[in-house]
Amino acid sequence: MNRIINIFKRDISSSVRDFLILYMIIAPVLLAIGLKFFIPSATSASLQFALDSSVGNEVIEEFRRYGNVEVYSSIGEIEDRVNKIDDIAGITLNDKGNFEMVLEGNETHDTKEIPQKIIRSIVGKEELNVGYFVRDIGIKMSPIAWIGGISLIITAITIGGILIGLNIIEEKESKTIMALNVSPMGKVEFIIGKSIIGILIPIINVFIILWILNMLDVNLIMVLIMTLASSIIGVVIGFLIGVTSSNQIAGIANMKLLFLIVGASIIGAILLPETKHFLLYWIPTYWSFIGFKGILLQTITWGQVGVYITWILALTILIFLLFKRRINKGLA
Amino acid sequence: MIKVKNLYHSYSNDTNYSVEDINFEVEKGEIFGFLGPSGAGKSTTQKILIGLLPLQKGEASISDYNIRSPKEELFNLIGVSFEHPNVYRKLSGLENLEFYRKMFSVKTEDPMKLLRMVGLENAAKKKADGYSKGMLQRLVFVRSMINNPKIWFLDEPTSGLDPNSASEIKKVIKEKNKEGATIFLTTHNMYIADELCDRIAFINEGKIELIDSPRNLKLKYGEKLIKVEYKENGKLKKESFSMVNDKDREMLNSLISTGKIETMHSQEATLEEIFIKVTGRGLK
Repeated sequence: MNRIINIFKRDISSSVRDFLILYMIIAPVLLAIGLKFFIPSATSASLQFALDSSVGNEVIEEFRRYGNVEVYSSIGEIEDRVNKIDDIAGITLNDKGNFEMVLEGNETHDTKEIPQKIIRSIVGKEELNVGYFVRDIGIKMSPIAWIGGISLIITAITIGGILIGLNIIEEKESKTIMALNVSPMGKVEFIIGKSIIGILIPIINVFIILWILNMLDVNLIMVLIMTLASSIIGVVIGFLIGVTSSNQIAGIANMKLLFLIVGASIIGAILLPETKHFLLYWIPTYWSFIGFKGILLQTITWGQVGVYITWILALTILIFLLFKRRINKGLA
Repeated sequence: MIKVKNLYHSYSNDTNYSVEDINFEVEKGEIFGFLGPSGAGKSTTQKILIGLLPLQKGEASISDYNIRSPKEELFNLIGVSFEHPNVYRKLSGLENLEFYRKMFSVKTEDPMKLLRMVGLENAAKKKADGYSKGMLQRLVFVRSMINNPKIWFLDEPTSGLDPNSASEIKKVIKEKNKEGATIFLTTHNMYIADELCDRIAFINEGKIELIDSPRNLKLKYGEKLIKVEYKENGKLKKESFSMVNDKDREMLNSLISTGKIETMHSQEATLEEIFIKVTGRGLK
């Protein structure tokens, strides 16, 4: 066990000292921050209101008829909420008991106008004539949010594999693997030690991504299990890249091919009609994609999670068995 | 300690052997030199012995461990100093040793003590990427000592080192040998082989040509010469006289009796000369 941890610790030390690899580790997080700027405009297609609890339940219920309502206990909390990146109108009562809107100033027209109209209808000054009606078609999240989120999650998982590949390439290029091979370290210890980075970094990144994208209200155990299963794909791919690439440049060339396949599984799953999805069944990341889709949209059952994980593991084991000799030889 | 019998190895898995019918034994506490030019089969033999290449044909054992299926215990016993400075460049010298020591399940040396031994104590916390070739070589050398090896494989241990560092390394090798370590030294440097080895195997084109001590080889294959500088008619002359040729001996005696000799040195055949004599090719 000590040797396994030692190998993992060395890989971490080595990775964070390489600017390129360090960037790769944090890239999904940076991309998630970038994506967060796009999600609000898509999400704000639905109306959102931040209401002061002092307005009373009747008013709150009235607002609920038109959009999502978040209730806060103070004007400070409402201001904090309004200052966040998406469009939301804050409503409170002033000292004289009149309604007051709290806005950031850069909201869309509807975000300002519709709450005003609702308030006027409540205080009886105007008959409400809002051109909105609500129909629940089962969509809990904007497509940009879930497609972007899953793409980043799969990128994070793939990068875990790439980290393994680059660390193995480093061992091969510097021939340090020879020194390890004449130590009491066993091959299994080496493989497990090298794999940890490709499992741990994706898990950390996935939860950071979900946190940044405000998606932590999903089933986190499902997220963890799906990430673990998916990262096994990354591990096998990482070892394949490592043993087939003689240097970092060759490694990066092989990664491009890998991203092509991973990208095909994501784009195919989005664009192809369900009847044509069987064309993607052979790509393990396809199963990761539909698994995470179900988790983020909260439409998945544990049974489905089990089926998808079985597909992922079966395909990954198949890939491993196909290349087992090549991996073994490459590590010798 | 090391037994090799009818060892063959082919990189192409056919009868095109890189090493062919290699036989030798290394006794406990011996420094055994494997001397030969590049491509002679030295590294192949060593790689088979340390488990980096599979044992295809023949038998080999180290300390009674069959190297066909090497066990963890065997790797706790051996130390390997590679010719290539194969260290982690992004880690410091100290980190390299700390990392490597944790791979062993026997008592290990203090990394700082080892670094001090080869003059790397001031560079201990510097990334190995900034080390010179000689520093890297010294780091690889001390890394191979981290587990106090009983059997020490050294591949060109003084390659790329300045004379002072090379001398320090040779001193350490001698000390370890005095402490009881068996040493398998692979080199094409005849001087280090001559200075350190109890016995030497000449390997050429994958075959061992002969095995003996440097002294015996010189006695058997070398010609004893006396190199003399003397004055004749006011001019300085240089000449070599054979100690086995009667005529040469007479001439030397006459020079000694006339007192014309300025300098006089005995000169033995070098291992390289013997190697050329035996194999018909040089050590380069």
